[in-house]
Amino acid sequence: MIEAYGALLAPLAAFVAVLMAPARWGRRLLWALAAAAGASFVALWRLRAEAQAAAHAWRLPWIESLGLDFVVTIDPLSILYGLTVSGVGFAIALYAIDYFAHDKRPLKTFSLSLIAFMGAMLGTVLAGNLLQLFLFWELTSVASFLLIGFDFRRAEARRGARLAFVVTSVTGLCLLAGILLLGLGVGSFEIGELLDMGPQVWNGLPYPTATLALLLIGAFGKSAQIPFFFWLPRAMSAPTPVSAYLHSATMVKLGIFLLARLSPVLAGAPDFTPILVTIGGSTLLLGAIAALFAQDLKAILAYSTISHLGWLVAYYGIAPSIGAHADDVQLLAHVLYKAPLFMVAGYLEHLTGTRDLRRLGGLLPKAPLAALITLIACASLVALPGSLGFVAKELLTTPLKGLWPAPWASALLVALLVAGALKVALAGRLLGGIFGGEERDPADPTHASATGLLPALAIALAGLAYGLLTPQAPSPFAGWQTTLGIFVVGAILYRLAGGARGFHRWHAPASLDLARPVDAALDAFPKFCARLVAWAQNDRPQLFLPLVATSFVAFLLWRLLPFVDSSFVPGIAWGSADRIAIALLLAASAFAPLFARGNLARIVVLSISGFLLVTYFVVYRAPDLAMTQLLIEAVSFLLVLYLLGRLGERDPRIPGFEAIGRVGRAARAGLAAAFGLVMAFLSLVMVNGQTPERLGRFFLASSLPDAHGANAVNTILVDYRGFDTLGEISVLAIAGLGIFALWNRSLAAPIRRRLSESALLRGVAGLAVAVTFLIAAFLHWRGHNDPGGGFIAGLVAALGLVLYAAARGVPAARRFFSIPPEVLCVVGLALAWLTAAAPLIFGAAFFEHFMGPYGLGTALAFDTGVFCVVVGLGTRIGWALLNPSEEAEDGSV
Amino acid sequence: MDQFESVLAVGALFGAGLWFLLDGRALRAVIGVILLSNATNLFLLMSSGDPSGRAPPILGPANVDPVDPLPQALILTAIVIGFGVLAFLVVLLARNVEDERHPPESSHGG
Repeated sequence: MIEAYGALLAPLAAFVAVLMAPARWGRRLLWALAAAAGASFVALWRLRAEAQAAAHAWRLPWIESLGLDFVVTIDPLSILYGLTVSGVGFAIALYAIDYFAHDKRPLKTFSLSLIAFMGAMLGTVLAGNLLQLFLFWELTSVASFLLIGFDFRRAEARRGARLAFVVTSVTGLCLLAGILLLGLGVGSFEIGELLDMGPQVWNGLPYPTATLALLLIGAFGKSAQIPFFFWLPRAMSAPTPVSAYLHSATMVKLGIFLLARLSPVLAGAPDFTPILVTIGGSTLLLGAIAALFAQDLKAILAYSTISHLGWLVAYYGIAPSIGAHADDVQLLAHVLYKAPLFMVAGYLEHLTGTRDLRRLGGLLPKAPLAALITLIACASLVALPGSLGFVAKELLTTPLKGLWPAPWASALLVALLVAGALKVALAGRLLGGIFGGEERDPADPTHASATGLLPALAIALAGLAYGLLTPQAPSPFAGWQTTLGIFVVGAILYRLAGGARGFHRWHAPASLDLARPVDAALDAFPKFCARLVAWAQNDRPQLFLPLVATSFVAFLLWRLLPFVDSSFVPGIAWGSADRIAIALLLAASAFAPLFARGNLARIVVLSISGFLLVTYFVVYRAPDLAMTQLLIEAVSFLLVLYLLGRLGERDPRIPGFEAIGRVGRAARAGLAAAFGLVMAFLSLVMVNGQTPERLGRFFLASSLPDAHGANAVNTILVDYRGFDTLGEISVLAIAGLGIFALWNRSLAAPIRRRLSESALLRGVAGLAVAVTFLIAAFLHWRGHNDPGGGFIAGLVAALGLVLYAAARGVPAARRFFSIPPEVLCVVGLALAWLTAAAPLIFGAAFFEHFMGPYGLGTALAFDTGVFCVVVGLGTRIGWALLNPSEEAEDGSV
Repeated sequence: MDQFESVLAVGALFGAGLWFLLDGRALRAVIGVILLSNATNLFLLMSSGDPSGRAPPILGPANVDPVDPLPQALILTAIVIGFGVLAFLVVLLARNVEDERHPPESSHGG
């Protein structure tokens, strides 16, 4: 058990260690990867025997409310993949330490990404829960993105990283959708339970076709199958250790892993075999052909990997009917020959400065060790009798041959024969092209030490030894006629092409490169979005405001019209006479500014409308609202009056608006009328279908016993919904910040001087402040039980201070009231947040209030915070409008 | 529910508010914003139901059914935020007018 978690915790520990380590350690940081890989490998190795005996699952509670456990599964499959991931990881770490020997680039992020990748891989293959598997699966995509984009100064690397990430993560989301359909349909996300059900799973699934398609898209995207294969060759812009590790040995195998993992379940799906054999078989051929056309050494290896992945996908399409048993040998065979080939490619790039096969040649004397490794690896690649590749091929194809002439198995066998011949030609091309012929001028050699090839040699030799020593090995002469045929055809193809150099003239049509259109689409998409935003969210309010209003009206009509049926009887019943009178006046006053002459008249009738609303609040039994609206109305009137002072009799157009003609005005009137009618209708429907005031009754019933306040409005503000209020005063403070950002001294109101000249006002200013503060204190204190509270009290106090400044000048006001309003604002905000957060320290809930004697409690403290913010903001705005240049002027004007 | 007069007032306030907002002139836009926020507050208040014969949401000895306090609390918040936005709008417009009249020396673009 400790080993199972240890295998996962080792990369985590290494990650943390590298995170703490200084970046200047450079490539030494990669030793952490080697250590973690080694530890994970040993841990999993120790579990091997246990896993062979029976599958184990260890679980930790994960998301208990969803009944999800974090499950670590130990069975032969997870052990096989885990050992591959950690074993190759170990070799790659050693290889990378040499690879970056002369590299000055910082490697900390790189090391972290590589370690995270290994951890994510182990997490994926050891996962016993499909959602857990998906999380780690996506994490590998993220790590892959970071690693491909290691050389992010090169556009090629950035584009390759983006392409790989988009393809693998979008297909990964399909996988998630498939997992959800599967898991919700079956009622469990645990792989063990799904496997127990086996093919029966499909009987109860609501959307079997979609589920299978989504799961397979996820697997195909990750494993670079048609039509998603194009990301893999582009991912080769990653450093070679990454290509060898992620994009050959491990990550691209995840799709195969998923098929293997779920194979007992998937086998029951309709059309499982045709889909997998068609896609996998085509990919097998496509990769083998494309490898002959590519010129970049790593791209060739990538296509060869794609071909191999295609073969495995197709194999799993048929495996359920023959019983997969040697797939582990095939997996290892590929890892053990492809990883050394990648390492050789990286070595050669350092040796010659190029990976272009057209510029390589005659390197046998210079790089004999590389030639030896390539030879061993190529023997396995072409399945030369005696090699591990041959063993794997024979083990897998023998049961297939038994199915002949079943259509899908036969088609796959034919494809395999063709691909085999193509691989022989490819091996000839690699060996002849790199090591044969005469040497070319090295383009830009950096460094290359043969010691860097030792991990490659070790892996290649391990493959050789495994192939020779494995007890399952078939006779080297098994099916010798077929083998001979493949080699002869391959050799003929090689000759026809004109030898290794002959392939240099081959070019695949650019139109076949699917990466181009996808890349172009990825370029075009943000531009399209930008244009869409520019169109819909343009900076011309004259266009977008009507657009928003029209959409709003349309939406409301769509939702409201269903209410109008035969049973809809609008409650056209009027309230009392006073309410009717006020409401009709209110309605009339809304239109009054239309007929008012001059700006001043307009804002006076507007103000009348506001005061009518105050009285309407009174008849609606809302004293707190009436008081607040009254004060706000007074301050707003001053604000608009200030604007009027700047405008005079003009009313300039806001930039972005143009004068409109008769038709435009008619349309605007129509839109406004429609808006008003729809809103009226909405309110009618709302009061018609009045729901019982369950929420209101709750507040009324609990306000006194729970919140210790008789004023339910106030207790809601400071207690029940205190978080809203906290957000609100924060918004207020932000609005204040915006005002100060826009402010400059030229904006001072022209009304200051005339007010200051009033001797009476100057005389009573101090008294006025005292009175307003007394009233404010009273309103504030009683707010919890009677109309009042922090907002109202704050507005009253702010009005007093603004009045003082109007009478005696802002500098005098600043001297009189020694606390700067902006400080008061901040203090109030801090007090409110502290009151809300302090209970956390004492183990109580956020915003839990405590009540002390005489009505003093944390609720009052919070309301005091609100009070301070409102006083500070109101005063600051008022003073700013009165006089922005406080330093220059004296109060005794 | 006997609130039909409120329906009329709400419709008038919303309609007139949008009309002024779409006018595109500074003072009329401010008028539009104020009318729209008043309309919204009244609209919210309507959801507390017909107030006839009911008491304010302040608990006392009176044996009368109080109205729903929740819309009132929400509106109180809305009024104060509306004021903050209005103050910002007014200063923005004032700055706009000022900059049109005396363009600032260093243009910040746009």
